[in-house]
Amino acid sequence: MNNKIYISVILILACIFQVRSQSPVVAPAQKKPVMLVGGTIHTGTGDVIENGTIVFTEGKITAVGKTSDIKTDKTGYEVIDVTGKQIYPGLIFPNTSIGLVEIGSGVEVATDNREIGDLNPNVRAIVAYNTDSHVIPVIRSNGILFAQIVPTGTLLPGTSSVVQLDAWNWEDAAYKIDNGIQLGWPRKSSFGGRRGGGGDFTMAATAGTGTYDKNVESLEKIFSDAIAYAAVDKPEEVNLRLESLKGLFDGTKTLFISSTEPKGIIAAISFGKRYGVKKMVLVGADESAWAVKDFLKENNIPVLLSDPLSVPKYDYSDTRLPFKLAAMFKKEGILVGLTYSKQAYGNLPFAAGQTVSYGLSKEEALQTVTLNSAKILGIDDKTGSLEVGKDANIVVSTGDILDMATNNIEYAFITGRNINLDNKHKQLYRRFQAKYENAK
Amino acid sequence: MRKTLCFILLLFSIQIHAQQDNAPVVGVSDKRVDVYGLKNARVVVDYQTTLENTDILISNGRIESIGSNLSFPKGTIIYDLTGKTVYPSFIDVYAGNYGIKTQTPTADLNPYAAFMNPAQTGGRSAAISTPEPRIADYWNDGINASFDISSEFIPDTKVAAEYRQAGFGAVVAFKADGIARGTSALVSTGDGKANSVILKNKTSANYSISRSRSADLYPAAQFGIIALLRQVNYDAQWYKQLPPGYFHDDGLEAYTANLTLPQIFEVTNKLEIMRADKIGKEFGINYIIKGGGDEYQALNDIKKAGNKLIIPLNFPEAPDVKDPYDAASVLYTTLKHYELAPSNLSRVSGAGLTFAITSSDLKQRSSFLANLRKAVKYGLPEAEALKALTYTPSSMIGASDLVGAIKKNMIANLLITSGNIFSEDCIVYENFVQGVPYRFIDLRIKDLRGTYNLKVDTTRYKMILSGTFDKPTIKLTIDSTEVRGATFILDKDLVSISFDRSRQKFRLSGYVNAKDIEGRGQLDNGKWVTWKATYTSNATEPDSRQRRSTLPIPELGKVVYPFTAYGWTELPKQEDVLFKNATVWTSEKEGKLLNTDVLVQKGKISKIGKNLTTADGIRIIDATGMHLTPGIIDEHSHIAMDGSNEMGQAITSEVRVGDIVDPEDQSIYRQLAGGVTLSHILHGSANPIGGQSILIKQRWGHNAEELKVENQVGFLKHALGENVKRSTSRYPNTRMGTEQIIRDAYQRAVDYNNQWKAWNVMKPADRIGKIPPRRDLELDAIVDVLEKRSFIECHTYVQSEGTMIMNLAKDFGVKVNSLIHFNEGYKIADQIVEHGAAASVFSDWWDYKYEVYEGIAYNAAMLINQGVLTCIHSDDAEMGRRLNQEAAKTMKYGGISETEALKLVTINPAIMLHLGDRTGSIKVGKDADLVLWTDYPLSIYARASKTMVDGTFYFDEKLDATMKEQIDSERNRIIANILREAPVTSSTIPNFPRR
Repeated sequence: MNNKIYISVILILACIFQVRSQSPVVAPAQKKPVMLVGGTIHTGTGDVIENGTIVFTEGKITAVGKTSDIKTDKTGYEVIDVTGKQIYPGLIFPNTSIGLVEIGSGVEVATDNREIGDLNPNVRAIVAYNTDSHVIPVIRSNGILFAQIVPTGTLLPGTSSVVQLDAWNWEDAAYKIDNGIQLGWPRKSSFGGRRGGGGDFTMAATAGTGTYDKNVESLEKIFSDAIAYAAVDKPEEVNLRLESLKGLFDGTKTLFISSTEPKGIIAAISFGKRYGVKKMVLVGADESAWAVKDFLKENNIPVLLSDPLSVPKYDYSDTRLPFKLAAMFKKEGILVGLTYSKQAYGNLPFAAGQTVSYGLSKEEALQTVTLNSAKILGIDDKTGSLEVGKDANIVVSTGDILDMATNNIEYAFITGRNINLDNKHKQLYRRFQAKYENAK
Repeated sequence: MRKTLCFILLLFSIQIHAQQDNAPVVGVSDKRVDVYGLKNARVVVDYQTTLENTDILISNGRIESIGSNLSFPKGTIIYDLTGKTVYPSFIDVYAGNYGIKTQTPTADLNPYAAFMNPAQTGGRSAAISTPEPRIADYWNDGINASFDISSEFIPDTKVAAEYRQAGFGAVVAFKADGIARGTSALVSTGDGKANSVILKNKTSANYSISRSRSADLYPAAQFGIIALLRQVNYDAQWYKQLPPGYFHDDGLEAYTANLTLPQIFEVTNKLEIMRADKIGKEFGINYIIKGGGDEYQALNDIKKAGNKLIIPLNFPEAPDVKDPYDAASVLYTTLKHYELAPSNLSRVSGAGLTFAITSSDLKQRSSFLANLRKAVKYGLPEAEALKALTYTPSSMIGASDLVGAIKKNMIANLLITSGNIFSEDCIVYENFVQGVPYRFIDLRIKDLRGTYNLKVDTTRYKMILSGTFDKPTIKLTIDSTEVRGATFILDKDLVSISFDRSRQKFRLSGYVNAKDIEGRGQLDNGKWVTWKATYTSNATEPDSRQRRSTLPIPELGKVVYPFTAYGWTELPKQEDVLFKNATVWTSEKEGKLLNTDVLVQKGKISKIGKNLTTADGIRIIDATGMHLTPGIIDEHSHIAMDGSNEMGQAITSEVRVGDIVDPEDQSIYRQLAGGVTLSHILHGSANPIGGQSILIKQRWGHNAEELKVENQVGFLKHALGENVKRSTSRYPNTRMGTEQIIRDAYQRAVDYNNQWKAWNVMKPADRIGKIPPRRDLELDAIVDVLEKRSFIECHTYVQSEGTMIMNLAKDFGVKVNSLIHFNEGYKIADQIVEHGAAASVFSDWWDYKYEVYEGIAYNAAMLINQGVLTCIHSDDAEMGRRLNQEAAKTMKYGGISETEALKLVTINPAIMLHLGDRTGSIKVGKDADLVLWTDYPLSIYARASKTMVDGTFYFDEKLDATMKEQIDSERNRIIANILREAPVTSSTIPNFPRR
């Protein structure tokens, strides 16, 4: 016991006096049942429970409802009064390189998301995931508790996994391991969209142009090989690439398709159907995906929307189209999740908030970063909404989580574990506040 | 047939030489008759005069005489041109690289390559190196003023033939390479030796706003090119004042000498016309400007500028819209220009501008006549067209006594045609160049097209000859059944026909006999038969090309300003407006006022108060439940500029963003939709000292000059850290070197300033024999900073470089105006306050490179709390639309109050940009730059409902929706028109008349 206190003191001191900041201590497993009492519960299923209570034990939600309806005896519970506060499912961040890329550009050795070659379905993001990335605690403190980490590149860049964002190592972080294969469908045209509005150098790379047929052939070859390979129970020679594709045909893996050309989207999904891929998702859906919305609907393809905080693609596009697309797809009955493409990843909830004045209700907007994404990533059996039996992945915010004017995360729980919300930004803030206070 | 024509032309060029030659005869001389008499023609003497039944005598390459019933001397080759029309051959004043062997590039054409990683450049690496020392020429390889085309000119027979076929008899050849391109020459399109083909040397001095090939990396961007051209002009002025024996420069000598010639300046679009004109006006030069064919998009501005123009007929090809998904990627701008481009010349002419037409910029010169006729069909008066191809070009270069008309003693360049050259069925038979006839269509060839009764032996067929005049196609029927495999070959008067029938091969050969065709033929068994085709009528099979040319001109859409989607057909007007009952965020000490009215009159805020009443004519907007804020100011942006960095050198203070403002960037409009009314447009961050920036207001639809904020002070962009040191082949590569190169530039500017001060106080008598200081635009810009006419904006990331630049500025007696981006500003907020700089930062933008590893979202709040004048900027066309949200994040990260948060994107940047007394807050007397929001403006849920600049609404949500509908229907209309037209094929031979 004494030893434990001693260690704790050292850890706390280390947090306070370290010269360089570092990630806070990973929360231990939930020991005591917890009861959050009095908050407004946004369940993620579209419902809002005013003056609600949520109870969770050993990492699972055991009760959700109006405070007056929850009859659980409080004895032995840690009761947290959250009156007037907002309660949400932990937010989910699909299609990101968090933990794979530590520094956006200029430091190549700090990136681990792009392997050499075009046909790498077997490379797995999970094994390179850095739980100690300084980015993770920063975005966690905005309410983001899960991420789908993805390899990037052309054609078949690799296998993604879903991680929870508070772990000592990647094995602990894995929430749904190897959930999907990424497919970057080749581009047919070199059209870049808008006129360069400044900022960057105008020489856009047009990789893949002119090699469309060759690239499609190579995809067709590896998929037909993979089907033949999957038919053999124990192949004499194991092929890691073909092995990794197996899950697409039995539905254990989802094919995450990226294409921003209408015909490319149709071609890619038809390709998937032709080879018997069970589950497909369109990633980075933009106005080109909207052009083929009927096709998506007919084939029951959910979309992970391109970053709503982006500029329209064509000069004739609706001035605010990227803000409106989520509502447009939703209205068509297409399942929509959101992505966010810039490095300041903590803005994901605000990307969702941005859709609210353009057609979605607040609860629908919330779903684009919770339950919808959970369904798309195949983790909705465990998370994405606040329902009895699901993991206790819960965020408590002082105000509306989708609005930067009010977002302020007070508590976050991952499988019932009470997460330390400190981060490098806060540490540096304190450090330099101290500088100025000492000078007074 | 085309091959045959070429062969004939070749023969002509060998046998006939009317031109002068002073070289000794080799072998047996073969000088042919060079006296031609053209009889009974309709002669278009010049664009104003036409004479009927006129004769022309051509001798020794010149027009000897012109008149009626001329008596031709013995030995004259006579052409009877009854029914034919003779025109002066055309002149192309813009024949780039004609007769010049194209050179291989001496440097990588991508000047940015050195700054890109190998993945972006496809593995190529490009080093920035100092080029070889030049001969005593101007230091920059883009300035080739001393180049004289006659030193390299050799007539190119292939291209000459193309020019002749398009109707040209003379062209102005020049070397289309470099920024100052040297001098041009007027040359004929004949095939002689250079000595006889050059009609006049040094006809113009040529310039360009594009860099072309150059051994120098500088200038890499257009504002660098403009700066270099200005510098050359100042250098030329300086050079003239130099005492002898001090400094020799071939380039400057030539440049100065060339200024007496017509000055021809090439640009690629209408915006660049204004840019070129501005350079010219600075130095008293009236450039003749070669445009890009889109002049109609800025006609008023071009008219005001008043330059003579050279305009191409480069109408865009129809975009591929067959597949509706593919069509989605065709921009509105592309469709509009496709539709309107053929009307360009009609509009330019209608505006009363002086212009010449050039065949330059055509994919194939053979489409010139077709496009010219299209321009006429779209409303260009024929006389104007002819003037623009004869009189105007010849007078532009002072050669109207040589070419451009059919008059005594002028060079015998003339076209023999079947009639009106601007009508689609006109045949051009011959082009006389310097008195030498070049034949395209034999004047004797008869038009055989029509319907015949063909009798072969005893069998009767119906034969229809259609298609083109010189190469008719055959359709043969017997009892209404078409005979397969019929061919028809016309060779002058001789005809061959073949076809298959009843498993029998028919081969007929014969000749034209008056209107009929007759001869003998042989069958498979060797039997000979007689045949005769008797002409019955002029009926022919319809020709697809004919069908196309008879399509009426579609009703054209309107020109929009700017020429892009969401451009206006009519500019919005300033209004007097009363906003009633709004929540008014003043960004002044009054803070937020509830239920308040704001009156706007004549572009200014005139009253703020409760229950204001107004006079008639004032538009009342009920703003109940809405929020009115000052217009958002983006302190750091790169929208609305053509290019971003002049990377060719590390210190480029001479370049000015104001020279390359792009008023057509849709980001302007999209930012209005985010409430932005004013942006600071800066040079990029590739250089330690980048360039001079410009402040613009979002006056969407106005031209570049009108966007600029009136009476603004200057700002000079500096940059530190990763961006300036990332090219491994350019100094600096470290923060150490960065400090030194900036210090050196400032020290040079101090010394330079002292030299000028000393010179300026010197008495004129004392100046004699002294070397005047050379005006240096690079140092001028830094002197402006030293003299506090311009202010330092410094791209800064880590704390060490922030401290460095403030100390450096202090050493030179100035302050840093604003530390921009400064993600680590929070670490030295106390130093910033002490220095008196402001900070312009990202709200929540970090982790994108190593130098922002310790960038934090609390930065702005910490700076504010320590008393630093702070603003939030975008640096990004997308984020610029949401600056209210970015400001709101300071409430989350650091607990800044709502009114202080809004100031970060309103009054604070206004003060920082020295505009604090004019805009940035809602205060009586200030510019009416206002945004009406649907919701609490610091919320993610707020939308800009209306945005006003200087009392004019440039954005309105409702209007935006209406415009979108109009844009869609306009796209659909043009696409439908494209689909109605047959695929465009450019024909080498014009359509021919029926008889």
